[in-house]
Amino acid sequence: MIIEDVRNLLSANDRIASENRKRFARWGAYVVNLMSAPGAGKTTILEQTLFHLHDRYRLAVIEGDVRGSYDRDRLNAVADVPIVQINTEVAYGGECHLDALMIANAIGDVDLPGTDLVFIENVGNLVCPAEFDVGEGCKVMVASVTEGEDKPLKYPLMYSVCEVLLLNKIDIAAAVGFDRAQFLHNCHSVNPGLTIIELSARTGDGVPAWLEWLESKIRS
Amino acid sequence: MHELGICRSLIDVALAAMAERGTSGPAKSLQVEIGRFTAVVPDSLRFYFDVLSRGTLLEGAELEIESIPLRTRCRSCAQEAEPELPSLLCLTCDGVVEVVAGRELRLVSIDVPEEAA
Repeated sequence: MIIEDVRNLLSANDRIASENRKRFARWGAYVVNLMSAPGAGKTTILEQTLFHLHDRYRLAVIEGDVRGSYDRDRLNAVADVPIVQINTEVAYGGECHLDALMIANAIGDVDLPGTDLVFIENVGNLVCPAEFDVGEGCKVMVASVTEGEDKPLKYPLMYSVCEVLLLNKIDIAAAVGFDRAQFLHNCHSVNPGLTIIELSARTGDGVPAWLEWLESKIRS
Repeated sequence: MHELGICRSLIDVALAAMAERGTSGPAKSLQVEIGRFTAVVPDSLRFYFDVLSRGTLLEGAELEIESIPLRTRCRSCAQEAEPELPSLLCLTCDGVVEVVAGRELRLVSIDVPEEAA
């Protein structure tokens, strides 16, 4: 007997993601799912973001790491913002990405009705997180100039699922021989609608444009 | 390595489908479609399937994976293409395309021999 039963393998994840999204919407919290390769600068960008916005908006962070709370400790030092740590090694088999269930479990610990903006810092990885909807309002990725201009072509799925790309470490672009025009061309070829914000989280250059983008989302 | 989670989902979905039909198994094979524009490696999925299916009605079943090519359609000129490169621009008019195939991650069917059904 052939059981014809076409089912999406991510349907369980997508169902939970949709429930997460409804919960976020009900509380009016805008959610950014921040993804990148390890070391691209997600945490440094979040340090800048929390520093500049924590006085004006109610923020929360969900930190995803395989192990440790190094990022949470860094963010705690910048601003008094609720941070929930997910260690995938502890409860989720050391998974290399966050999925909707992990976020559903984590948001029980966030005071959502009192939050304007939730940042989800995903596990550093350019492959797996691209596949998992967690219920975010927007997928944002960070690429750094040190990674090279060919990465949109090597990781097209990640580059194509994101709405915004933060190009980080532009202060050292010349030193590492980064071909900006080629990078922008490669981004365009895999995701023509991608919004690109160039910045340096270390010097603060370009950060205002990112903050403006976030504020436009909070207001809308 | 997220094939582990996707494989868990595959097994849950397949066992639920068999339970709904009242089949007591064991299954002989599962037909699965994996798009090329996904982050799933078929061999990795097979490896996890062999491990995770043990002790279930799916143990020993063949995982038949059909790889679905990336297929795009231009929003401007409607030209369809199967691009080899990751470029998601129309090769004819340079317009923006939509992905019409290649993102599949799905269980299509399960073969359960009659005597076991």
